[in-house]
Amino acid sequence: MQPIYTQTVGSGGVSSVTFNNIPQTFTDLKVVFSGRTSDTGNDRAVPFVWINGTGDNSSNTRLYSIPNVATGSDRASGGFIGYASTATNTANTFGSQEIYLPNYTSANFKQMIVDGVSESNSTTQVGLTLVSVLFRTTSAVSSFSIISSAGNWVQYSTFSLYGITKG
Amino acid sequence: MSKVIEIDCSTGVSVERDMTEAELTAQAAMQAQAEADRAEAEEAKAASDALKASARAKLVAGTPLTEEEAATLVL
Repeated sequence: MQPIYTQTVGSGGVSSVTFNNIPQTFTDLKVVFSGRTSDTGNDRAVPFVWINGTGDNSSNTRLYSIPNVATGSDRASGGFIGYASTATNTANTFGSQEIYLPNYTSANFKQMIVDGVSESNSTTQVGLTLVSVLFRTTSAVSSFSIISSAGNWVQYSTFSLYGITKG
Repeated sequence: MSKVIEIDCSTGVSVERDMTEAELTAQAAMQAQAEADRAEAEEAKAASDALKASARAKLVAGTPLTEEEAATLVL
Protein backbone atom coordinates (compact mmCIF):
# COMPACT_ATOMS: atom_id res chain seq x y z
CA MET A 1 0.00 0.00 0.00
CA GLN A 2 1.49 3.32 -1.06
CA PRO A 3 0.41 6.71 0.27
CA ILE A 4 -0.67 9.07 -2.52
CA TYR A 5 -1.73 12.15 -0.58
CA THR A 6 -2.96 13.22 2.87
CA GLN A 7 -5.00 16.39 3.36
CA THR A 8 -5.75 17.94 6.73
CA VAL A 9 -8.50 20.57 6.83
CA GLY A 10 -7.52 24.02 8.01
CA SER A 11 -9.17 26.44 10.41
CA GLY A 12 -11.94 27.63 8.09
CA GLY A 13 -13.35 24.18 7.35
CA VAL A 14 -14.46 22.90 3.94
CA SER A 15 -17.53 21.13 2.58
CA SER A 16 -15.61 18.62 0.54
CA VAL A 17 -12.20 17.21 -0.23
CA THR A 18 -11.46 16.00 -3.76
CA PHE A 19 -8.50 13.99 -5.00
CA ASN A 20 -8.02 14.74 -8.72
CA ASN A 21 -5.69 13.17 -11.29
CA ILE A 22 -5.44 9.95 -9.30
CA PRO A 23 -2.63 7.79 -10.72
CA GLN A 24 -3.94 4.93 -12.84
CA THR A 25 -1.07 2.64 -11.99
CA PHE A 26 -2.46 0.82 -8.94
CA THR A 27 -4.90 -2.08 -8.68
CA ASP A 28 -7.11 -0.76 -5.87
CA LEU A 29 -7.64 2.48 -3.95
CA LYS A 30 -8.18 3.03 -0.27
CA VAL A 31 -9.38 6.22 1.40
CA VAL A 32 -9.07 6.58 5.15
CA PHE A 33 -10.34 9.60 6.99
CA SER A 34 -10.93 11.03 10.41
CA GLY A 35 -13.85 13.43 10.14
CA ARG A 36 -16.04 15.74 12.17
CA THR A 37 -18.57 18.18 10.70
CA SER A 38 -19.82 21.54 11.94
CA ASP A 39 -23.44 20.35 11.72
CA THR A 40 -25.28 21.29 14.91
CA GLY A 41 -28.59 19.67 13.97
CA ASN A 42 -27.67 16.00 14.27
CA ASP A 43 -25.50 13.84 16.47
CA ARG A 44 -24.09 11.96 13.49
CA ALA A 45 -23.22 13.06 9.99
CA VAL A 46 -24.01 11.08 6.85
CA PRO A 47 -21.38 12.14 4.30
CA PHE A 48 -21.33 10.94 0.72
CA VAL A 49 -18.81 10.38 -2.07
CA TRP A 50 -18.62 11.27 -5.74
CA ILE A 51 -16.36 9.78 -8.34
CA ASN A 52 -15.23 11.67 -11.42
CA GLY A 53 -17.10 14.77 -10.29
CA THR A 54 -20.58 13.30 -9.97
CA GLY A 55 -22.83 11.25 -7.75
CA ASP A 56 -25.06 10.23 -10.65
CA ASN A 57 -25.95 6.55 -11.04
CA SER A 58 -24.88 5.64 -7.54
CA SER A 59 -26.64 3.78 -4.74
CA ASN A 60 -25.85 2.37 -1.34
CA THR A 61 -26.86 -0.50 0.92
CA ARG A 62 -26.25 -0.01 4.63
CA LEU A 63 -26.15 -1.92 7.86
CA TYR A 64 -26.34 0.62 10.66
CA SER A 65 -26.56 0.72 14.42
CA ILE A 66 -27.00 3.65 16.73
CA PRO A 67 -27.27 1.91 20.10
CA ASN A 68 -30.58 2.62 21.86
CA VAL A 69 -31.81 4.66 18.88
CA ALA A 70 -31.98 2.60 15.71
CA THR A 71 -30.52 -0.54 14.22
CA GLY A 72 -31.26 -1.92 10.81
CA SER A 73 -30.48 -1.93 7.15
CA ASP A 74 -31.65 0.04 4.14
CA ARG A 75 -30.97 0.82 0.52
CA ALA A 76 -30.99 4.27 -1.06
CA SER A 77 -29.77 6.17 -4.07
CA GLY A 78 -26.63 8.25 -3.77
CA GLY A 79 -23.15 7.50 -2.57
CA PHE A 80 -23.79 7.78 1.15
CA ILE A 81 -21.02 6.29 3.25
CA GLY A 82 -20.70 5.68 7.00
CA TYR A 83 -21.38 7.96 9.93
CA ALA A 84 -19.06 10.76 10.97
CA SER A 85 -19.06 12.88 14.11
CA THR A 86 -20.69 16.31 14.31
CA ALA A 87 -20.52 19.47 16.40
CA THR A 88 -23.08 18.01 18.81
CA ASN A 89 -20.60 15.29 19.84
CA THR A 90 -18.07 15.69 22.62
CA ALA A 91 -15.36 18.19 21.71
CA ASN A 92 -12.27 16.76 20.03
CA THR A 93 -13.95 13.52 18.98
CA PHE A 94 -13.80 12.52 15.32
CA GLY A 95 -15.40 9.68 13.41
CA SER A 96 -13.30 7.20 11.45
CA GLN A 97 -13.96 5.72 8.04
CA GLU A 98 -12.25 3.39 5.64
CA ILE A 99 -13.29 3.12 2.00
CA TYR A 100 -11.92 0.34 -0.19
CA LEU A 101 -12.36 0.67 -3.95
CA PRO A 102 -11.06 -2.34 -5.91
CA ASN A 103 -10.26 -2.38 -9.63
CA TYR A 104 -10.77 1.36 -10.00
CA THR A 105 -9.37 1.46 -13.53
CA SER A 106 -11.54 -1.36 -14.88
CA ALA A 107 -14.42 -1.02 -17.33
CA ASN A 108 -16.80 -2.63 -14.84
CA PHE A 109 -19.12 -0.80 -12.45
CA LYS A 110 -17.32 0.54 -9.38
CA GLN A 111 -18.24 -1.02 -6.07
CA MET A 112 -16.74 0.03 -2.78
CA ILE A 113 -16.98 -1.23 0.77
CA VAL A 114 -17.08 1.33 3.56
CA ASP A 115 -16.92 0.89 7.30
CA GLY A 116 -17.45 3.93 9.44
CA VAL A 117 -18.10 4.99 12.99
CA SER A 118 -19.00 8.29 14.57
CA GLU A 119 -17.52 8.91 17.99
CA SER A 120 -18.63 11.01 20.94
CA ASN A 121 -16.86 9.56 23.98
CA SER A 122 -20.26 8.94 25.55
CA THR A 123 -22.71 6.10 26.03
CA THR A 124 -24.96 7.57 23.36
CA GLN A 125 -24.39 9.39 20.08
CA VAL A 126 -22.22 6.65 18.64
CA GLY A 127 -23.10 5.30 15.21
CA LEU A 128 -21.67 2.28 13.41
CA THR A 129 -22.09 1.51 9.73
CA LEU A 130 -21.06 -1.00 7.12
CA VAL A 131 -21.93 0.23 3.65
CA SER A 132 -21.76 -1.06 0.11
CA VAL A 133 -21.67 1.75 -2.47
CA LEU A 134 -22.09 1.15 -6.18
CA PHE A 135 -21.37 3.61 -8.99
CA ARG A 136 -22.76 2.46 -12.31
CA THR A 137 -19.98 3.82 -14.44
CA THR A 138 -17.53 1.97 -16.65
CA SER A 139 -15.03 4.85 -16.63
CA ALA A 140 -11.80 4.55 -14.68
CA VAL A 141 -11.80 6.52 -11.44
CA SER A 142 -9.56 9.56 -11.75
CA SER A 143 -11.28 11.78 -9.19
CA PHE A 144 -12.71 11.00 -5.75
CA SER A 145 -14.61 13.41 -3.48
CA ILE A 146 -15.70 13.06 0.14
CA ILE A 147 -18.52 15.51 0.84
CA SER A 148 -20.22 16.55 4.06
CA SER A 149 -24.00 16.45 3.68
CA ALA A 150 -24.48 19.19 6.30
CA GLY A 151 -22.00 21.78 7.47
CA ASN A 152 -18.27 21.71 6.88
CA TRP A 153 -15.53 19.25 7.65
CA VAL A 154 -13.92 21.01 10.57
CA GLN A 155 -10.29 21.77 11.26
CA TYR A 156 -8.07 18.70 11.77
CA SER A 157 -10.35 16.41 9.77
CA THR A 158 -7.81 14.37 7.82
CA PHE A 159 -8.24 12.53 4.52
CA SER A 160 -5.67 10.09 3.13
CA LEU A 161 -5.61 8.35 -0.25
CA TYR A 162 -3.61 5.17 -0.79
CA GLY A 163 -2.87 3.07 -3.84
CA ILE A 164 -2.67 -0.71 -3.59
CA THR A 165 -0.97 -2.95 -6.14
CA LYS A 166 -1.82 -6.63 -6.41
CA GLY A 167 0.92 -8.84 -5.05
CA MET B 1 -19.65 30.63 0.83
CA SER B 2 -18.71 27.01 1.46
CA LYS B 3 -15.28 25.96 0.36
CA VAL B 4 -13.86 22.83 -1.20
CA ILE B 5 -10.32 21.50 -1.28
CA GLU B 6 -9.04 20.02 -4.52
CA ILE B 7 -5.80 18.05 -4.62
CA ASP B 8 -3.97 17.37 -7.86
CA CYS B 9 -2.40 13.99 -7.13
CA SER B 10 -0.09 14.30 -10.13
CA THR B 11 1.56 17.45 -8.76
CA GLY B 12 0.78 17.28 -5.05
CA VAL B 13 -0.74 20.75 -5.21
CA SER B 14 -3.77 21.42 -2.99
CA VAL B 15 -6.06 24.40 -3.64
CA GLU B 16 -9.12 25.75 -1.85
CA ARG B 17 -11.98 27.29 -3.83
CA ASP B 18 -15.64 28.31 -3.40
CA MET B 19 -18.33 25.70 -4.06
CA THR B 20 -20.15 26.06 -7.36
CA GLU B 21 -23.92 26.51 -7.50
CA ALA B 22 -24.25 22.98 -8.88
CA GLU B 23 -22.26 21.59 -5.98
CA LEU B 24 -24.37 23.53 -3.47
CA THR B 25 -27.58 22.24 -5.05
CA ALA B 26 -26.34 18.65 -5.04
CA GLN B 27 -25.24 18.93 -1.43
CA ALA B 28 -28.65 20.31 -0.38
CA ALA B 29 -30.44 17.45 -2.12
CA MET B 30 -28.24 14.86 -0.43
CA GLN B 31 -28.74 16.55 2.92
CA ALA B 32 -32.52 16.34 2.51
CA GLN B 33 -32.27 12.67 1.59
CA ALA B 34 -29.99 11.93 4.54
CA GLU B 35 -32.47 13.59 6.89
CA ALA B 36 -35.38 11.60 5.46
CA ASP B 37 -33.44 8.34 5.80
CA ARG B 38 -32.49 9.19 9.36
CA ALA B 39 -36.08 10.03 10.37
CA GLU B 40 -37.39 6.86 8.76
CA ALA B 41 -34.90 4.67 10.64
CA GLU B 42 -35.66 6.30 13.97
CA GLU B 43 -39.42 6.10 13.45
CA ALA B 44 -39.17 2.41 12.57
CA LYS B 45 -37.17 1.73 15.73
CA ALA B 46 -39.67 3.69 17.87
CA ALA B 47 -42.61 1.81 16.35
CA SER B 48 -40.91 -1.53 16.92
CA ASP B 49 -40.11 -0.65 20.52
CA ALA B 50 -43.73 0.40 21.14
CA LEU B 51 -45.03 -2.88 19.73
CA LYS B 52 -42.64 -4.89 21.89
CA ALA B 53 -43.63 -2.95 25.01
CA SER B 54 -47.30 -3.48 24.27
CA ALA B 55 -46.76 -7.19 23.64
CA ARG B 56 -44.83 -7.54 26.87
CA ALA B 57 -47.54 -5.77 28.86
CA LYS B 58 -50.27 -7.94 27.35
CA LEU B 59 -48.33 -11.12 28.10
CA VAL B 60 -47.94 -10.09 31.72
CA ALA B 61 -51.63 -9.19 31.94
CA GLY B 62 -52.68 -12.37 30.15
CA THR B 63 -54.56 -10.56 27.41
CA PRO B 64 -54.49 -11.53 23.72
CA LEU B 65 -51.76 -10.10 21.49
CA THR B 66 -52.36 -8.69 18.04
CA GLU B 67 -50.68 -10.42 15.08
CA GLU B 68 -48.18 -7.52 14.86
CA GLU B 69 -47.33 -7.75 18.55
CA ALA B 70 -46.88 -11.52 18.38
CA ALA B 71 -44.53 -11.09 15.44
CA THR B 72 -42.17 -9.04 17.60
CA LEU B 73 -41.78 -11.99 19.98
CA VAL B 74 -41.91 -15.04 17.69
CA LEU B 75 -39.64 -15.52 14.69
